[in-house]
Amino acid sequence: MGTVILRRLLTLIPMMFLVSIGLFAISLQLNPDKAAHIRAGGAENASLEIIESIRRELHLDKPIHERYGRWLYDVVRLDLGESLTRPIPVDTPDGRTEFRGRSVATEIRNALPRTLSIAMVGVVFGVTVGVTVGLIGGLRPGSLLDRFSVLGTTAGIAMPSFWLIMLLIIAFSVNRDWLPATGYEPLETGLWSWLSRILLPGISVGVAMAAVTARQLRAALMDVMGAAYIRTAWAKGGSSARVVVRHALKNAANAPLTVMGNQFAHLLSGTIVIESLVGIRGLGWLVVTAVRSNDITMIQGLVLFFVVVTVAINLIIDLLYSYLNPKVRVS
Amino acid sequence: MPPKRVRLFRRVLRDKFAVTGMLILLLIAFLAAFASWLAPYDPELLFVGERAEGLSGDHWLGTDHLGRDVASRLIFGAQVAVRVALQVVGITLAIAVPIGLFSGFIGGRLDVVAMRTMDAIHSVPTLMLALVFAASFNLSFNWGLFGISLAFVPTMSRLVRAQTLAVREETFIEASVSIGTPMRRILIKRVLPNAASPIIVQSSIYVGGAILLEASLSILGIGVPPGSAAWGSMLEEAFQSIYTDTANVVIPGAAIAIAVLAANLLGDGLRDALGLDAGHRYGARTRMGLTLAPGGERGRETDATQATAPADTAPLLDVRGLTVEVRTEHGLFPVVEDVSFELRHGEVLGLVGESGSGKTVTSLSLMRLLPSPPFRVASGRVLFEGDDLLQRSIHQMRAIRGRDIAMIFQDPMAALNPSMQMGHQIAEAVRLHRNVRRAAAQKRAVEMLDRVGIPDARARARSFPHEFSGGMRQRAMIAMALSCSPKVLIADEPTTALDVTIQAQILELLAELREEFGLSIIFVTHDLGVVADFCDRVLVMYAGQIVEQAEIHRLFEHPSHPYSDALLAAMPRLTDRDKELVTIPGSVPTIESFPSGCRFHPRCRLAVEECAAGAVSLVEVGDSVSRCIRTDELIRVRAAGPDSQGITADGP
Repeated sequence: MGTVILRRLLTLIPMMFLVSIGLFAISLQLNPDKAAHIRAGGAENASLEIIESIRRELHLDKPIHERYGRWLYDVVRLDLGESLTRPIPVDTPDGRTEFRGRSVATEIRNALPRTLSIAMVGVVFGVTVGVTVGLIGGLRPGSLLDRFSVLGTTAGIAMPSFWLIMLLIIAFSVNRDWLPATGYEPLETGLWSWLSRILLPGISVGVAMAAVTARQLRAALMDVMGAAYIRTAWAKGGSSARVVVRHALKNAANAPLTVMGNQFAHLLSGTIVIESLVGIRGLGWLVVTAVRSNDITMIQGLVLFFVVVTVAINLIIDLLYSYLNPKVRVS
Repeated sequence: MPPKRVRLFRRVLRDKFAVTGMLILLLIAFLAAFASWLAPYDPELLFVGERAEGLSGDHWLGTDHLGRDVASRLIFGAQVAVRVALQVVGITLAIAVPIGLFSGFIGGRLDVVAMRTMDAIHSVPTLMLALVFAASFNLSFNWGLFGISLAFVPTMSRLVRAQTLAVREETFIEASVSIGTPMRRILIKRVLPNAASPIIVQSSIYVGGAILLEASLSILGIGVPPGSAAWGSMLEEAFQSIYTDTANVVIPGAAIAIAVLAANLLGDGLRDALGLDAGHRYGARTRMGLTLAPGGERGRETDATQATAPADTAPLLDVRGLTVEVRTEHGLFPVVEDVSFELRHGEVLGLVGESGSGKTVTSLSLMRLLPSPPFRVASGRVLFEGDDLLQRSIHQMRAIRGRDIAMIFQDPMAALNPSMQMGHQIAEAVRLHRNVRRAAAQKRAVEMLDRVGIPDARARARSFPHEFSGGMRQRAMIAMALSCSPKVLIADEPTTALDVTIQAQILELLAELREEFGLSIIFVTHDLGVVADFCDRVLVMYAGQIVEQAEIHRLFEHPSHPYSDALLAAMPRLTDRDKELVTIPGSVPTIESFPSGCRFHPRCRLAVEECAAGAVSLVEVGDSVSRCIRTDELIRVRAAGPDSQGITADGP
């Protein structure tokens, strides 16, 4: 198992190198004037002198490869730089007030729980509903229930999450006052106060995962249930539950797992729009604000974060593969 | 269009979902093309006194919060959708196709760099990539769309690359290269047409993806399309006043959802029509003619070796009038008809026939392992120790499966769970029927593996099926079947997939275990050579019916059905090497086309008109039972001389 992980990590190196070049390329358009304006607390305070000093501080006077090297060095130490917008005033020892950018890493850390909450609801919904519906269809293909589920998954795949949240808000917040339409409360304020606000956003981003998982699981199960080793399991005297859980599911899990990995990335994309719609200040909201204000360091940090999460999820799925497929483990 | 394309096109047209999808997309294209004529008003025209009004004659989809006509905006929004779809898919193809072609065709370092780059792009969530490009270029609409295209490139280019790799291996490409055809020409004329199908399917799906992602951008107000009557923007504006006006949220959202659904339906339909989905391939298996395994040469010379007469007279298993039907597209057909036989204590009963004769269906129906649907036991009884198994509940049946009656199968690689350690698979069988702890069951598994001759059984119990050789797998399968000491073993062609030498070893092992465990065995095979070695009595099946039942010696020396005779003649023998291999002309009829009268008569050398006239019943002929009206003739012909034994009378 250890060697599998190591080998996978090694193949990630060239890919992450390419990602880092792409990310660094974003900063090539970094405008020192803009950065200086922020540091100085406004355009009127930004003298040529200050701009020059900031140019030096950000290494904008250095050749490109050196800038890349310094940037990479910082990133590897998890120093994602400072945001270029919404600076906070800092009192310097000599009594002046200086404006500093917010730390990108801190901003991400603060926003993370909100997005994580939504994503968690989405994944729980996606996996439970997806697996249940997939099981129903895969074990009884052609039944009435199966036909409904096929219809449902087809609709679910095409359903835009941003529209679904609006429909859910109409149903649960506008027409009935059951759930709040917007905002976020941390878990510390109470389970329901937290859950009630992330339930609809979570379900909205989770529906696509549920639909795709169900579809894949159904197809895989239909195949596997016809396999000779399933007949063997019946012939041993296994119960339906045992045959499905111990023999069929494990062998049918590959395709659904793959799409679940892809769907997780889509789910994160979904939170970007959803958070902006319902005013939850999570990572998605950070992304949109940064993009609107061309906050380059913030964009870099966020893209990097999303990439690392995506890669990590795929790594976990690869490891699950080798657990499920002993053949992969050996070869 | 070449005829192949025409056929594919027709197949797509038969898929009602694909057609629906295509029609909806065409409708959207039509709306976009003639928006100025079709829309009742200018999309930006403000009806100041008529804000957020419902459906009416003037505004048949109502007005929005500013008093603009929703229907007109929806129609003009189609223009944005069409433009987005064309632009995104066009750019994706323009980038991805060359990358895939060159990467696949040239390979080497270029391929490695290209594919790592694709991985890198693929690791950024799609919407994120679109946002980054929009952000980098002053929130430009076109750059946002470019970001979407770029996000689609990795999957598309891998698709093209895979197709290119597949085509490159083909000989006609190698030939082209060797006669000096320029690469560009090969790529365009040869490779691209082959890659066209998956490209079209993926493009169709990306039409939906592009519309969805552009709507996301519009909702975020980033890269809003010029003119801005886009469905996404409409939805975002409507959302601001969701508490006062819900209708305007529903309409543009539905437009987006329907467009995406249409693109997906078309993509899925195309995929099915082009046969790209390897997922569900159900349907009738191809029925092959007589295939006798090479093991047949041990046939006749050795058939005098065993004569263990069954002592007990009450049969262990008594099958009476078993009829199994199968449902096909054309109706319900009997696949096994009125099959009756007994299995006595300690006996090995051979069940012989070509593929499609119903022998496997018979054996599976004893354990009630036939998938239902499409199979259905129509009538009959399967008495095991006097109890009718067909009347038992599934729960009661489970207690019998594996404990009283066990089964081994033809292809042990397929019949063993690939993702479960061999020891666990055997231990599972033990724990299902015996109240023992995990460790004890595992110990029994190791014992059994050792007993069937697997060296180093303790370590091998932790191996997976693919780590065993073919013969060892079948040994493990036997260990599993016998782990609960069953009374009956049903062996469904257990040696067919194995090498000849391994076959002999497995048969030897079964013979040993039969003594040791006091087993009664039903041995299903198409190989008369194996039967001769191993069985006491034989049932010959043809087209779902038993055609002959006889003691093993009797069958080999005096077959009383022409089909048995033909099978014997078709058996390769070492003694007459100079003769051509004899075959039975024609093939087993499919269940949907069983001939009238005697089902074998179209292939029978002794057939006369009468044979086709009416159903033939089983009659006793000496010590055998046979389903033939020409048995006397068969005996006469056989007596006439060995040369006339064969089906084709072309002996020397």
